This record gives sequence, C-alpha cells and structure tokens, in this order.
Amino acid sequence: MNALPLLVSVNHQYITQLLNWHGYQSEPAGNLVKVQGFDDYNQLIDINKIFSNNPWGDVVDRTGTITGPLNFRILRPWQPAATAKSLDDIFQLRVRHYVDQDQKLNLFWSGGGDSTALVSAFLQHCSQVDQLRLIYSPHSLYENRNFFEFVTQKFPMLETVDISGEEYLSREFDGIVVTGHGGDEFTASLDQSFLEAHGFEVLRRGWRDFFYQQTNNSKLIDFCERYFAVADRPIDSVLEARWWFYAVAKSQVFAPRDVSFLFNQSGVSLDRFSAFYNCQEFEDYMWHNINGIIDTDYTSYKKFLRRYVYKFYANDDYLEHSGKVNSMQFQYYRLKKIELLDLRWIGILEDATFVRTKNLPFFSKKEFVAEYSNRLDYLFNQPC
Amino acid sequence: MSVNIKYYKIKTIKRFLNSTAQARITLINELVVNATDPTLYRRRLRMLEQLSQYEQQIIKKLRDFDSDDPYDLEVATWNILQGLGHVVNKNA
Repeated sequence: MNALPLLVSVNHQYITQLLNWHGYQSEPAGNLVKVQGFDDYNQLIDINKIFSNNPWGDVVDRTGTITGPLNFRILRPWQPAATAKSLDDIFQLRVRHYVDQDQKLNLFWSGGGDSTALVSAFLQHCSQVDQLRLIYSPHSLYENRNFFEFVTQKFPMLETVDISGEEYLSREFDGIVVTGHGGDEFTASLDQSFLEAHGFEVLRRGWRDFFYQQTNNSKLIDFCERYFAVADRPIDSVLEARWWFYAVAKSQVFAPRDVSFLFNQSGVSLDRFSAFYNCQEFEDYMWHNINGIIDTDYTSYKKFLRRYVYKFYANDDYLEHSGKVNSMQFQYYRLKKIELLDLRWIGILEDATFVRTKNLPFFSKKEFVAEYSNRLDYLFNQPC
Repeated sequence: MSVNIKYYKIKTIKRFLNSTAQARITLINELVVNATDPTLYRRRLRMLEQLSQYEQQIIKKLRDFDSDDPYDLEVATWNILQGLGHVVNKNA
C-alpha cells in the first residue's frame, strides 16, 4: 500500500482547473471530465453519458483494470461473487456488523425505499433500541408518514431527531451515520427519465445494439466487451450492462462525499459515514438476481426491498404502490451546510483529510501551489 | 500586458450581488405573503439571515483571493451562483 494517502473523492467544481494546471488536456462531459491519454477511463465516461443525460459523481473503477488521471484508493475492490445468501440473512448480518461496533447508530431515513428497508432491518435485528437514533426530516414524513407512525408506536423508546431547520447545521453527531446509499448503485441506478427516453423494453435489449445506436462508436463496444467480461457472468442486456457499470464504476462516490457533512466536527474518519448497501453480501446477491431488479413497469423497481419491508411493516399500499422517488433531502442539507459553514473541499483523502485552499470557492493555481507546492503530485497518474 | 484582475473581481462581485439581491427580494416577498403562517414566516426569516451570512463570506473571500488568471474568476462565478442556489434552496 502506498504510504501516502490516496483520494477517495474529488469535487468536480475544481477538477478541470486542477488537471489543467498539472498539464492535462481535458474536456467537459456534463459534470464529468474526459482527459487525453486515458482512453479506457474516457470510455467509462462515455458509458455514463449513455446511461444518464446529466452524469455526476466520480467514476472510480473498482476492478483495478482502468487507470484514470487521478490516483484513487479503492475502498472495496471488486471480487467475483460468492454464493448468495438470502436477503433476510444479508440484512441481519449487516445490522450485526454495525451493532458490534458498539457505537451510537444514526440511521438516516429519507422516507425512500432504501432507507426504509435499512430502518426495518435495524429495528428487527438490533436488540438494544437505545443504540439507534432515527434521523429524519419533514420530507421523510411527506414520503412515508405511515411508516414513521408505525415505527414510533411500535418502538416508543426509539430516539428520533428531526434535522430540519438549523438542527443539521449545528448538531454534532456521535457514533456512526448509516445511509441507504448503494441501494441505487447496486440495482442499476434506474431512473424514470432513462426509461421514458428509451422505452421500458430497452432494459431487455442487447446492450451492443443499444450502445452502437447511441454512439456509432465500435471502439466503445470493443472496450465494453473486455470490461464487462470482468463481471464473470453474462452481460447481454442493457439492464445487466447498467447494473455492472453502476456497481463497479459509480458505487464508491457517495459515502466518502457524505462524510463532508461531518467536517464541522473533530474526530472525523471515513468509516463514520457508512453506506448500508455497499457490502460484498448485497453485491453478491444482486450479481445472482439482476433480473429481479425490475419487472414490468417502473413501479416494480426494487420491489424486492419493499417485500422485505412488508414482513415488518405489513402495509399493502406501501408494497404495491410506493414507487421510486429520488430522495435528495439529505443532499440538499449537505450542500447548504457546506456553503454556510465553509466546509468546501477539492478532494478527500483516505485518512479523511481534505484538500482545500483558503478562499474556496475561489480557486487559483497560485493559492494551490502556496498551500501544497508539489506535495500532492503523487495523486496524478501519467497518461497511458 | 499584465491582466487587470481587479476588473474581473469587480465583474464577479457585481454579478454575485445582483443575484443575491434578486434572491433577497424573492424571500422578502414570500415573507410578506406568508406572514400569517408561523412556519413559513420563521423559515423565510432564517433564510434571509443565511443569505446575508453567505454574502458576507463570499465578499471577504473574493477580497482576499490571489490569482492572475481571469478564468479562475469565471469558474468561481459559476461556483458561487451554484452555492447561492444551495443556500436559498427551500428544500433545505
């Protein structure tokens, strides 16, 4: 392992300038950046653009086969899938993993399906309810008030905290924060706009035809043949290709970025902010069950998680009619907190130090060099 | 010919303060319209305070910012306007 800490996340507001100052030729690709001399990495950006009109979030390859311009630490490298456990067993194991750390567990409940499933798992398998703290906002109640009322009536000793208003700005969080991140990335990160643009049946189409239709680029197809083969299972449909891409190239981004929410506190480490679904067991489960991600229409997306919740919270309406909503509430709080408390960063290193200059969001080479000289040059890879 | 960075700083601050002025007027109008709703009244007052806090922070940083490249200010303008959007986001 490199003795110097590597990156786990970069802020794309500053990345183009940073790359240019280090002599790279870059071009914007939505919120992402393609860089001359990193052809395979640029292919990943192109795949992201096929799947999303407005791609954002670091593309960080977990297979170890792609070199990008920046030197990332892969927090959980891709491994071939083992035999899948049941979802019930996985959730129970996952809860045990957190409970055994013997710290307060802050469960961020947005009201969406992923966080509802994780809260259900904790309330079923954590014997000491006072170890838990349910963090919510009025938007969570707007999404799923009935679930909140069910939980608070069944577990009156459960501590609940509404972080709206100024609470999220000033409150210091002890223990670990557990969010529903990974719930999208390991289930193909399907959003309705993609299906509306291309039709629902696109998911069952062959990815080769679809990619070629979108890009006219046979080099991209050749790259994907090699990259998808690393999955060690057939990747034929658009759904399977989408699942693979988001699992191995887009799943690292959120938890490291979210830890910036705690940057106003001392004693911050990356493992204080944890994505519940970002674990080998859940990834293995999805490797075996890609076609269970969605059935005949968009409301069936991740219904397997709602079926899990139903065993705990037997609400027929929630099971049958609750669809995917983009739960952005926590992100809105995080972004506002960063601006108001000046928690801005250029990059986050694996030891949770953040790379920044004193006058962000104003960013200049002069100030960067004054702060860091060439101490961070090891974070930049040579073009291939 | 050396770059007159002061000119670009003035351009940036003008654009920024025009945007914050518009945001402020919107918040004040919403405060007036919703004056009888205690929750919205409280929230709009809080957002007005936060807007002023953000404005003060950005002006100080711009004053202290050391750069010879106007492009840095072009990028920063986009960043601070995006930041303004986060600060006055009614969802937060």
